[in-house]
Amino acid sequence: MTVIDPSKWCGNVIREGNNTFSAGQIQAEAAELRRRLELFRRGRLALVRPSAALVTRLLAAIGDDDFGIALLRSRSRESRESLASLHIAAVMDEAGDIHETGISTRETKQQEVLMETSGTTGTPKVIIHSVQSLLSGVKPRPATAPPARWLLTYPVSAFAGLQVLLTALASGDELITVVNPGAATLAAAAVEYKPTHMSATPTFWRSFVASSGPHASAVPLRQITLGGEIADQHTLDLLRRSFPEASLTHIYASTEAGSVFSVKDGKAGFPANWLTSGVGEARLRITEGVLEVNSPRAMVAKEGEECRDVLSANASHWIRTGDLVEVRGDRVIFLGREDTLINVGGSKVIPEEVENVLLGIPGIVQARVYGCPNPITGNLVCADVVVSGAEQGDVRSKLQAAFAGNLERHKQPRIIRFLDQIAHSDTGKVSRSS
Amino acid sequence: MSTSNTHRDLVQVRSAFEDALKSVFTAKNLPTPAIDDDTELLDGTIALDSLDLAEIVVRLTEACGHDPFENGFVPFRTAGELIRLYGGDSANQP
Repeated sequence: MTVIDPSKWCGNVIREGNNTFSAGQIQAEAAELRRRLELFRRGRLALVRPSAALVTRLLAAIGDDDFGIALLRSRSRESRESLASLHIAAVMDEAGDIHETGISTRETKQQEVLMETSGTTGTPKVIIHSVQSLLSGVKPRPATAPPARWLLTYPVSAFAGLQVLLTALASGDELITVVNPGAATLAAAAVEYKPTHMSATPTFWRSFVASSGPHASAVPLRQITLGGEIADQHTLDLLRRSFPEASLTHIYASTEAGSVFSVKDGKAGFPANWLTSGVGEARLRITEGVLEVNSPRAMVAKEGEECRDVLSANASHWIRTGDLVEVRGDRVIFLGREDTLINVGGSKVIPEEVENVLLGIPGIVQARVYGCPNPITGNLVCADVVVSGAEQGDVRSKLQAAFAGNLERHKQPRIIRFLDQIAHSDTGKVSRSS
Repeated sequence: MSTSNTHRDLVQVRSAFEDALKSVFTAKNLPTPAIDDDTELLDGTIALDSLDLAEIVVRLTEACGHDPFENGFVPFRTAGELIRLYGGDSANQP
């Protein structure tokens, strides 16, 4: 399967900081790259934190050859030992030069992409997707819709970033990337380049709206996509108010499960009848309060496993997502992750539930809730918050009332730090690993 | 550690303890009770429950920069016993 066909593109395809790469340029460079890649056919090639332009050239160069591409993000993956465990025959640098590792590679019988999971809650795992299943999850813009201009907020080596890149390429649309992505630089790029489409985490969107301020309305967004974290009602409402003309979509996808579904009604969670009817090609079920997914677009293997044949074996393979959910009326609501629960004197507290209450207090734009260990109750709920557009004193005075009405006593944050910013991962999620 | 250092530490820890106690009672909308070293923390003498005490311990750990419980639970019952756990050199403790 040809991944991408540059001959279908027009105009400036990718902008990277001050550089633009046209379809013609990418095509010419891809042809040159293809000659250099001859040696590594059927082998595995690694790219470490590559740019969108480099990944595009590589995908164009590969055409329909069987090839393994490892898109790596963490420094630890560059060690020889780690590359050997992934059978990487060569590493390609940002200039497109190929460095052989001397590691005997594993013959690839399909087009596959190796990616790291986000590692929000622990050490990232490497999982393997077939390119075929990745592409089947990409929905190109309908030919009747006007051209789109995407602003990439994720690293292209992250699942969500690759999805955006493939969507833009499959549609022949423009893609804007920035050299040092962060909420502030991306907000500035949005005001300058006026993207029509953006996909980002709720954490990112909240900082984006806060840092764009009155300029937000100057960004002609037609499509706003949220993913990677729970799309809570406060954030959905904030975006609806800030960008009344845009379509608002929250997607449920993970590096392991692939793209599962998207919700377009602007409401948190998803319709409960999807638990019985399925959605698209995916089936959903709840086991012990945790959402499980069966999808033909899921990964084909984890690091160290033999690849499953995408279509047959994935049919009976249920993935435990780790996402805690609850059916409320006709809706399934996401509560949080089962692996980040805080144990307070034997009672489990879901940090996302508490964050949701904090984010409902006007003026709080970011919140991170975590457990502080202590010998009395095991853990104590504590929080970091970022305030914007309001006085800290005003926010402080509203905390107790918001907690009293919404959270049982053991869930109420006992120590709250007011910070200028909260660390997030390179994929824009609130970090929970520390 | 010299006696005078330990003494100064104890004064600082006592002050951090009083700050922590005050913030717990302020959040409960109650007046901060007067307590001395012999005041039992959890026997109902003062309106403190285990969550409140956990908060005091976390605040003390942060204010004093060390965690006397990092290697496991150390028993304490009174305010004075808790303060002395944070009050520097454990060899100087009764």
